[in-house]
Amino acid sequence: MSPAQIALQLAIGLSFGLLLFLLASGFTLTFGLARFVNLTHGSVFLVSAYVATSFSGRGSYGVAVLAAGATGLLLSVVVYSLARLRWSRVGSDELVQVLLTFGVLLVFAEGGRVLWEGLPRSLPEPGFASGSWQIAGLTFPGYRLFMGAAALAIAAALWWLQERTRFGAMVRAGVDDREMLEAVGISAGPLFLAVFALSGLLAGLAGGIGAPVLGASMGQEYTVLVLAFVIVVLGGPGNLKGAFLASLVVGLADAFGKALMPTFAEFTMMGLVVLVLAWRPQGIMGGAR
Amino acid sequence: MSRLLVPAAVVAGIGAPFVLDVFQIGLVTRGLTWGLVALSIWFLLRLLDQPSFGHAAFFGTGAYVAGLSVTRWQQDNVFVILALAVLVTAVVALPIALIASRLDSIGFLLVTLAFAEMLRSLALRWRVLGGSDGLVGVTRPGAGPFGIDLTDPVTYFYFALVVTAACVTGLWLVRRSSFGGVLVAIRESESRMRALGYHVGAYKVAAFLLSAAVAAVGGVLNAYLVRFVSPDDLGPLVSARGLVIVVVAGGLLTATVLVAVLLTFGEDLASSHTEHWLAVMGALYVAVALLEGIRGSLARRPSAPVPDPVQRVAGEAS
Repeated sequence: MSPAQIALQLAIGLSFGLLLFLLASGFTLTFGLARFVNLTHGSVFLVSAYVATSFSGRGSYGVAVLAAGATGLLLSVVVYSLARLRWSRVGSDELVQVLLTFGVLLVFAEGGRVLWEGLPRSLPEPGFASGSWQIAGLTFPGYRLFMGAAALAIAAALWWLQERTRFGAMVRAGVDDREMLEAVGISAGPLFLAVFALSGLLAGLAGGIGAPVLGASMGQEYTVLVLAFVIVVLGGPGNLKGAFLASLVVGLADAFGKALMPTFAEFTMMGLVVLVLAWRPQGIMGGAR
Repeated sequence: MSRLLVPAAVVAGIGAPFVLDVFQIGLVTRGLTWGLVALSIWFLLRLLDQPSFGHAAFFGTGAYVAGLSVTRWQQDNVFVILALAVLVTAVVALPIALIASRLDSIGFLLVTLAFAEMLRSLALRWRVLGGSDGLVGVTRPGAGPFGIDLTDPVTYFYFALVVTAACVTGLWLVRRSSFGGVLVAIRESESRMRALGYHVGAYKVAAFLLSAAVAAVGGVLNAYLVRFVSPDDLGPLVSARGLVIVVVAGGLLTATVLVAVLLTFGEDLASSHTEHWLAVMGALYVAVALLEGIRGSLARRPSAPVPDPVQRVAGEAS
C-alpha cells in the first residue's frame, strides 16, 4: 500500500466509523439508561435511508437528511410505545426485548421492501461536497470527508447535550442510579421517551447522511447493525466515550480489511473483536464512564 | 405435565407418518431441525443464563459441512459427516466461546449475533462455499452400517427423529449430571464457584461447545432435508427462530421440539398465503414478546427470594 492509499483508507475508515458511532450511540444510550436492548436500529437506519433517497432532486439534500432524521425519530417512538404496552414484562427482561425489537425490525424492513420494491436506491451527492478534493497533494472523495465532518459535528452536539445540559445530567444520573433519580422526583417515563426519540433521530440522521455513500438496500439493516454492535461491545455497553473510540477503530478495521483482503474482510473484524475482548472483556474504556 | 409430555411426544413422533402426507412429514422433519437449534439455545440460556443470538453460526457451519461432504469431499456415511460437522463447528465455535463466555448477558447476545453475521457475509462472498448461490446438488448420503435408505422421506423423518431424541436425551442427562450442576451453580454465583476452586471459564466454554455441536447436528439434518445450503442458514432468522421457540416453550425441554414443529407449520401457512410472510413472523415475535407465553415461560430461574428494586421501579413507572 502506498502512503496515498493509506491516507485514503484512513479517511474512508474514520468517516465510516464516525457515521457508525451515530447508530451505536443511540443503542448504547437506550441500553445505558433504560437497560433496553433495541435491535430495531438496523431497520430504522434502512428505512430512514430509503426515505432520504426519495428526495433525490437537486438542492434537496438538506431536506432529505432532515426527513431521514424525522423518520428515525418516529420509528423509534413507535418501538418505545410498543414496549410501553407491557413495560412490566418488557422492561425487565432483555430476552423479551430482543424478541420484540427483532420482530419490529422484520416488520419495518418488510415495510421498506414493500414501499421501495426492495430495489437498491441511492441519493446523489450534494453539490457542495461532490467529486474529489485535493488536500496536501492527496485525492480524497469529497463526500466521504463531508460525511465524517457532519457525523463528528453531531457527535459533538451529543457530547454537549450529555455533559452540559440539564437533560444530559438527568440521563447520566439515570444511567448511574435510576432508583435515586426517581427518588429525587424525576419521572423516568418522559426521560426514556426522550432518549428513545434521540436514539432514533441519531440512527435516522446516520441513514440520511450515509445515503449518498452507502445508498439504501435490503440486507443493510443487518450489516450496519452488526458493526454498531461490535462498537457497543468493544466500547462497553452503555459507555458513550468507549463507543466513540471503538467506532473509530471499527471504521478503520473495516476500511483496511476491505482494501487488503476483500473476500476475507470479516476476519479483520473478528480478529479485532477477539483481540480487544481478550484484552479487556469490559470494553476499551473498562468500567470508566 | 412434563412426565406426560415425553411419552406423548414419542407416540406423536412415531405415529406422525401414518396420519400426515409426504409434504407434511417434510415440515415435521424441518421442525425437528429447528427444534435442535432451539435445544442448543435453551441449554445455554437455562443453565448459564447466556442468551445466544448467534446459533445460526453453528447451524450454518453444520449445514455447510454436510453440503461440502457430499458435493466436494465424496463422503457417503452420514455418521462420519455428523462427526465431522461437530468437529468443524467446535473449531469455529472455540474463539467465539472463549470471548463470549467472559461477557455479561448483553455482551454475550451482541457478540454471538455479530459473529454469526460476519460468518454469513463471509459465506456470501467466498466462492469455495458457493457464494450467494450456496451449495446446490446436495444429495442424501448413506447410513453407514445400517441398511436404510435416507432418500425416502419417511425413513429420513425417522432418522431425524432418532437423532433429535438422542440429542434431547443427551442434553437432559448433561443437565442432571454433576457437570450440569456445576453450570447451574456458576449461573447462581460465579464468584463463589471460582472461590471453591472450579475452573469457571473452562466449564462455560465446554457448555458453549456442547451447545454449538447440537446446533450443528440440526444444520446437517436440515441440509439433507432441503438438499440445499445457502448463506441464509447462517442468518439471524435462524437464531431468532430458535430464541422465540425457547421463549414460548419455557422451561420444558421436550416442549421446545413440539413448539418448533408448530412454528414450522405456522411459517409454512404464512408463506403460502402472503409473500410478506417475514412481516407476519415479525408480528408474531412482537406478539410473543408482549403476551404471556405458556405459563410464566420467561422465568428463567426460580423466583428470586428478594425482588430486584430496580426492576420493580421500572415496572411501576408505567
